Amino acid sequence: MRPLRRFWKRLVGSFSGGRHEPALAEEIEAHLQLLTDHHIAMGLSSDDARRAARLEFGHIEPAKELYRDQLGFPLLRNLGRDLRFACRMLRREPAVSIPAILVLALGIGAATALYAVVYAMWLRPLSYPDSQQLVSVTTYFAAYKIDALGSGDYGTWQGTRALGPLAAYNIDVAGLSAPGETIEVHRGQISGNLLDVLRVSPSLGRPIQPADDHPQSPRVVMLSDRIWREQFGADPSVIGRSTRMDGEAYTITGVLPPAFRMPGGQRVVLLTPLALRESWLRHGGAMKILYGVARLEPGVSIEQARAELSDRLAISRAQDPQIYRDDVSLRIIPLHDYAVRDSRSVALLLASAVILILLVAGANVAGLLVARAAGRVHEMSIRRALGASAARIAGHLLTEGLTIGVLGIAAGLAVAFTLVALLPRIPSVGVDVITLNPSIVTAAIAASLLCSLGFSLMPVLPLPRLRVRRALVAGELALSLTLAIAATLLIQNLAKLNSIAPGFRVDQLVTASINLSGTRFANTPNELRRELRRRLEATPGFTSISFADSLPPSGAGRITAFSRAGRPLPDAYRRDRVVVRSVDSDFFRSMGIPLLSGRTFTERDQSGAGLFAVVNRTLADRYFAGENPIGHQVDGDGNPWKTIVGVVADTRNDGLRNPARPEIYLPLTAEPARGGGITRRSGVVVVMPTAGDPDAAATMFREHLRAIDAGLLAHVQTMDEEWRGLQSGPRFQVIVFSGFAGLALLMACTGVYGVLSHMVVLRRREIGVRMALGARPVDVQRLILREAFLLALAGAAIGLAGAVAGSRLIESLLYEVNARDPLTLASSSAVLVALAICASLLPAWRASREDPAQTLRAE
Amino acid sequence: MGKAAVRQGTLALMVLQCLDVLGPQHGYGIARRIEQTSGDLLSINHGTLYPVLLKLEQEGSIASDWGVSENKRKAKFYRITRAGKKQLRAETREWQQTSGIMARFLALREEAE
Repeated sequence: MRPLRRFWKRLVGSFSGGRHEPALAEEIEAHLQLLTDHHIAMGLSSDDARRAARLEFGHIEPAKELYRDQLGFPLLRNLGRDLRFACRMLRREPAVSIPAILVLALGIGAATALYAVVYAMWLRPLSYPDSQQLVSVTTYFAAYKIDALGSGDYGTWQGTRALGPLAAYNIDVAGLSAPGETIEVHRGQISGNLLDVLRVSPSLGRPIQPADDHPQSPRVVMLSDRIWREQFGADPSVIGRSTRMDGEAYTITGVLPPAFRMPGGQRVVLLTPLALRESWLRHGGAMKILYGVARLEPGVSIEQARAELSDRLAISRAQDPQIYRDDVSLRIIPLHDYAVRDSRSVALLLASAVILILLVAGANVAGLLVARAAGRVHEMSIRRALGASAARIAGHLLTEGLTIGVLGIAAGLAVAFTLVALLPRIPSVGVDVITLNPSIVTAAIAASLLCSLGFSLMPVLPLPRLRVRRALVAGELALSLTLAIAATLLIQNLAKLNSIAPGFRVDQLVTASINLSGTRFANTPNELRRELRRRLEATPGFTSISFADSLPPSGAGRITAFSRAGRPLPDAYRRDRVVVRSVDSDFFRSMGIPLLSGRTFTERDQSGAGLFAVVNRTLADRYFAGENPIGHQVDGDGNPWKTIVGVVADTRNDGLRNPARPEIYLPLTAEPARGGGITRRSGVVVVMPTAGDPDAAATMFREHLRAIDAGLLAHVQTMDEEWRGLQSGPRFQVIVFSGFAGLALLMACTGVYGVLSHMVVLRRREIGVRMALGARPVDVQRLILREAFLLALAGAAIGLAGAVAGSRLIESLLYEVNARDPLTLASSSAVLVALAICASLLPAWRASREDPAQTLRAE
Repeated sequence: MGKAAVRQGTLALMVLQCLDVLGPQHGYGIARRIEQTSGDLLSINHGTLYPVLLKLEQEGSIASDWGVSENKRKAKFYRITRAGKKQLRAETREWQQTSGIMARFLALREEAE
């Protein structure tokens, strides 16, 4: 009790700020008086009595000092004093403190905002309980570039020793009947055990259970929290009610918690059971693409799980059709890694930018503080002479640095909050929720405090100041060069991506993909096509509409093995995969794909009278090198052969970055090709070149569609949007990195300016002597500029090394841009050197204006 | 033999004992009393008393009020509190124990010689 009470009293006493002083003085004075009275009574004269009293009392000041130490905690008391002093210094030297705080605020703000992005992309933990036990279970089909779990594997890989129940899911788009309209929503189709494996409980009602997961089971659906609030008014009585989806009635069983996401990180609006037919769940037949999730059994490592399932994979492959056997490898990775797999490289790059920008800001402030310490050598020696201990002075300097640090952090957090509020306005951020949660703010404060401690220590350490400053500035230049090179590479990357020719019309083209499942056109797509053509051709603005089953550039379409008549087919499934797309006779004209030789389809081909094919140039070059492909037959493996009638130019049919795949176009209405292959999207796709405003055309199209059937759902967009959408990630990277590189360069240049000004002051005498001995102003300027040049060279050398070392981080983001391109590296370094010299022009000019007589006299 | 300096930690105990026996006292009175009791063998710098008084007050063993001294001067009077009395009893016991043990040890050494 007593020590506690005393601790508290001392804590309070530490901040009394000298309020006790008058009372203490009075008490001591009273004591001295009593002593004096005593000595007078003993017969001394009043002067002698006073002197004797003083003697007996002892030294007054040390006693008072002891008293003060008892009153509070000396450390705290000094801190308080240092803080007050630091604040006074900050006010008195705004030329140092304001830039320092500003630099810190910008650096910390930018780094924190960026860290928030990294967190949202990459670090945010999964929201499931004990999520570190969860693993993603998929197989990679190298030939199709598909990372998924076949339904047969899902059905037969149950009951392993390493894993708990294997759960599976898939995501598709469904049409939900809402009051007055049908809305297109993302739906998760899940196995009956998925929610149990994830340990997710509904916030209302019951979860989807294994009993729901059969084709014969009554249809059930779970709602996301959001759609429950928006479409169902957050009404708890929806449980058990029926709702319609894709023309079928489903019973609502439960509502998901608000934070629910699919294991791959996607948000969905609805969950329904997969309800796979028994035949899907076995090997040897058709396969449905799913994604697998399971929990590792306690004490089981991920390697053990891999080993056990590899055996299962080997057994499965032996039973699968040949087409699934080749180039298939097992992938079991922690679910978190799976959920963030696409953003990993960007996040890593951004994380390194966070560190770089924080370091540059820290080095900059350190430079400023060291400069100021250099200007205060005089003050410090007086303090030493007056009895301040070295530790005391160090503590004092540290307090000053940390005061700047704390102010910088406060301002930096304000900057970060502003940036985080602004970031989602950049359309291409690609992360849906960026927030500053307590863990981000804590991490930011901790990192910034560490950084502040580092730069506060700089002036305290017994190092040669100018050299330290030079090193700091060289470091800043190096770090900003690294950032600038990253930005330059990303800009080049964006330019390269922008210069990719799609091979089809992008402007003035509206596309629509119509989902037929559950509608009256499900088995009669031709009827819908006819009706749409009739209506649209009667509408002004639509010039030549056409239909297809899929469109470039997203990589959708049917992918199958290539086959050519008259050639042996040795190892049937080791051959290249080609894209097969069914299109109507106007397709090439509507899409603006030029015909290179032969002819395109005619109306007659569409009726199925002849089995004809049009191929793209890549296919012609690859399989008919030196021959004329026209007249040859292709795609007849398990199908009727088709005769090539024409060759068209290539399009980007495998995403933005990949070269064109070989492609076969078939007439839309002809018998669909069978015999293996993977179809990624089906339905009716409409291609509509427009004369006027594409957005207006899109609106008009939607109206026509609704007039035909209000239950029809279509994904309508302009080709321009889709094409640009592919470039949004790179555009975001450019925005972020250019911003940060600019900021870093600015800081580095102020650093150069500061260190050279400092040098000019220190070498004033030398310069004076030189000028007195006949040096011209231009010689003096050259002296200073040489210094800047050397600094920049040192910085550039280190920065280049850093850029080369870090090039692997950025390589995976680049398209046809060499991360170590000598031209880029050299030109960025040249710009850096030029900037450094610009920043030193003013100090150099100032040095050359020194009056030698005056400087020499001043010394 | 010169005057002994006050051992660390014993001054607080002396102050408490003083206040317990004499009732409220100002700093001067306490200092005088300690010197007199020790038969002027103990010399204290009166100034060193004040940090000790502050510490005891912070711990709640003593309390203080401003009053008027016998020669009509304003002075701060310290008095022992209930907690202080308890502390005094405990520390007295402890001190007696220690000094008893020490005495026996020292006697032992003389015997051994």
